[in-house]
Amino acid sequence: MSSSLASFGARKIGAALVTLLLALTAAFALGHLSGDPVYNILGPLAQREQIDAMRADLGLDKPIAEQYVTYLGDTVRGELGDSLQYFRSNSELISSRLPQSLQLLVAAIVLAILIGVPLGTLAAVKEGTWWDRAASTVALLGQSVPVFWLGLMLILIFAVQLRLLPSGQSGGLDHLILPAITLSLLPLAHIARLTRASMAEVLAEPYIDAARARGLSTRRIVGLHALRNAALPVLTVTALQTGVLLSGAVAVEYVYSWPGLGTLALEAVQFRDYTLAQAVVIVGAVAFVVLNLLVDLLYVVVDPRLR
Amino acid sequence: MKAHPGAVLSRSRKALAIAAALALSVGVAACGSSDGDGAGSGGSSTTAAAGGDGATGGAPSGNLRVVLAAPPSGLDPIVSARDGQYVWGTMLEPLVSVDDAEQPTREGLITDWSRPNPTTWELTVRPDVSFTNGEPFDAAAAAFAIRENVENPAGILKSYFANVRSVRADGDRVVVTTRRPQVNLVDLLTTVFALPPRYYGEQGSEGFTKAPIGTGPFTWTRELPGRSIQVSANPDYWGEEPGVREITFTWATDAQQRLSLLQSGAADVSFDLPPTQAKSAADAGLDVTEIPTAVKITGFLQADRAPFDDVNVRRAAQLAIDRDALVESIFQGRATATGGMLNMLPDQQPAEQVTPNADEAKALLRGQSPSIELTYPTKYTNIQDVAEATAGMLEEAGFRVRLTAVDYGTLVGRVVRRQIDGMYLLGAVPNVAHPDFFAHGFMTSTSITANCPDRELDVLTERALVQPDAEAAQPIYDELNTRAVVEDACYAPLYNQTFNIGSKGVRGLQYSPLNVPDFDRVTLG
Repeated sequence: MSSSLASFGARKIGAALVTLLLALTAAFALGHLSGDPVYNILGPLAQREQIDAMRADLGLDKPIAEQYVTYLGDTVRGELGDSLQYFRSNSELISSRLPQSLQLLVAAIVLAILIGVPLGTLAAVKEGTWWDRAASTVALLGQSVPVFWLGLMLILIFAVQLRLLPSGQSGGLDHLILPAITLSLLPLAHIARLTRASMAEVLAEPYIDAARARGLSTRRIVGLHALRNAALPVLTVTALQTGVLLSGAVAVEYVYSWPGLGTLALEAVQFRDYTLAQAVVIVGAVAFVVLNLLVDLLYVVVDPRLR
Repeated sequence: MKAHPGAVLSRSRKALAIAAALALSVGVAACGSSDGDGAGSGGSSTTAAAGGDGATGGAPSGNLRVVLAAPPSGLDPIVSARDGQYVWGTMLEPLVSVDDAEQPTREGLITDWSRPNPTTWELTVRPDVSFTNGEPFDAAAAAFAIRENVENPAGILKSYFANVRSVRADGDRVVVTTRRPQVNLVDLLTTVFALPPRYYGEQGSEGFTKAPIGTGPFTWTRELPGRSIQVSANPDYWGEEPGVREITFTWATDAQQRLSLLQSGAADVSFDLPPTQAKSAADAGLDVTEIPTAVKITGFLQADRAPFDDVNVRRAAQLAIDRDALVESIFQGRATATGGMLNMLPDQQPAEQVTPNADEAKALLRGQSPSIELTYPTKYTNIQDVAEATAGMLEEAGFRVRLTAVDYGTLVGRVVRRQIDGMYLLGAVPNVAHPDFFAHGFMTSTSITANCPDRELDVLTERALVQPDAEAAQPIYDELNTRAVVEDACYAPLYNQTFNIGSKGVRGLQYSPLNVPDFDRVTLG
């Protein structure tokens, strides 16, 4: 068991490191291809000597290969540099925004699971009925509706017209509701569809028929037997969606002015703060890769056939 | 304090909302703080009919909730971009104050000045003023602030103080000497902010920007990183005490969100509403104030390269662009067409300007179809529409135009490195309402743009600067503008931007054409 598991783990970790290296390289390349940040920082009235001094200070006067090696070395040491826009360390900026992003992310994922799993289960159990069609329609809408549009509509209805909830920014728990609903829609749809498919497959298994023959109630069969077996792919997609949301909540954070990592990334890009943008990409990439790795390893522990 | 009528929720609805929030947040509590900053809904402002001067006449009260278009990039006036002035301007004061016409007054921290000889200025410092950390504001502190602008390598205004030879404190006076006479030195001090020397020296720029300290009517309270900044009334302020007890700054990049925050009662003031959102705000019964600003969107013609190395081609381009039509069609009149470069304020007009005439433009091109690139930055309100309309007008006159959109930093980089041809649109943003700001910034051969290879522009700029006073310098600036814009045809000034502010229940908010808000006299309700 241990040697094949170790070999599998080593392969996966190696692949994760390669993925990380590619992500870091892409972040570096995009940051440097998008132009010289010095003019944005100093403004149009800067003197030539100021421009040259700042380029030297930022290391932008060095050959690109040297800059790349320095960047990789700093990243490995956990040094994410200083923001060109905020005059603060990028680590400090990211740690100040990360709790907000995690708060939104957890709320969205919890919401997606709490609604998506029952919805998918109901659709599978009532396969072919209008319940099934309604659930599928909801899932389809969730995958089709652009989040920025949904966000604007929810703001218009619940904040501007009804004045039930804040229109944006973070604060108390009531600030969380609209962004969490908006962000949860896509994973909710994924989870609902996958739950339906997995559950339908499990419900067609002979042991389910056997359970029915023994007189177990549908609720017991679904709750105790079918759902447990259908849960693995759902857990997988949930973990993957968590990674996607962590790095992909930019639109939702923008629409709601939510002060998370997505907004920070947007601010960095708008100001051409390439060191901050790189730092956010690094954190997002690391989170995504680590989550994927954990899912891979967890999966193989649960199902040894995959080693 | 009364609750905001519009923000009042029925008890049952509120309970439902909170219950839903609690349900949503299972397991969330450990992930983030919810230390409400008062910036969200249910804040503490009161409402009343808008208008009035906001005279204070009592103790400061209420929390003014302000939404900006972006977080301040920094709060150190030496090195930070001016977007931070919305916040630092509540705590820090310029050495020289300005009046409503943006002219220097003797009512600020500097109470008097004299010019004993053409290269020496003596400034008298207001007595009995302290920074909020207890450091005295004296001549040494004033000299320190000026020296930081002159000497700090990252100083954002360093180029404007290049002529300063020395700065020293002498009793209650600051003595500034310049290498050559400089008529606008006092004007420049309206954008030099008093800094506590000991604190700034200890903290450096990074420390100062985390908790700025000044002599102003407000003092630093706290920052919730990425979320809000709060300042509170300075009880020991040397001047008239402000009308509100606190100001909470938050920000929303999306204009629609800024409007929604105002509409939902979560904000009292929302800055920088584009024309569409400004109209929606007005339609919704909110107060919308339109401020014509000194931000001048200008077409710069690269006159040292073909085809604009021919003055007739440049003149044809100028004549082809109908700036009034741009203002009317794109901004529905919410901008101010301008024909001059050195008329600094939107209500000023140049001595001479070019009157658009499409037929004359065609005639000057004599059937030729010069090919040009029109580059514009994706930074200013409706700038893409402006660029497309400008291109259309140029093509109507006979030009063949290739439109190129770039981000602001890239455009400035290309301009500085002289890697740009044709015509480009750029917003000229003055810190002070003195013509030299644009003359040095955009017209001389050592300026950032240096797009006009006419050495006489250098001569006129220097000649204006060494004049004994503003009255003597003004005719030279008129001549400089006429030469650069009308005769050389190197510039196509288009319009001054109008800035829209939405508010509800706020009185006394003032906003200078130089893009500086003044919260000192604001009252709520």
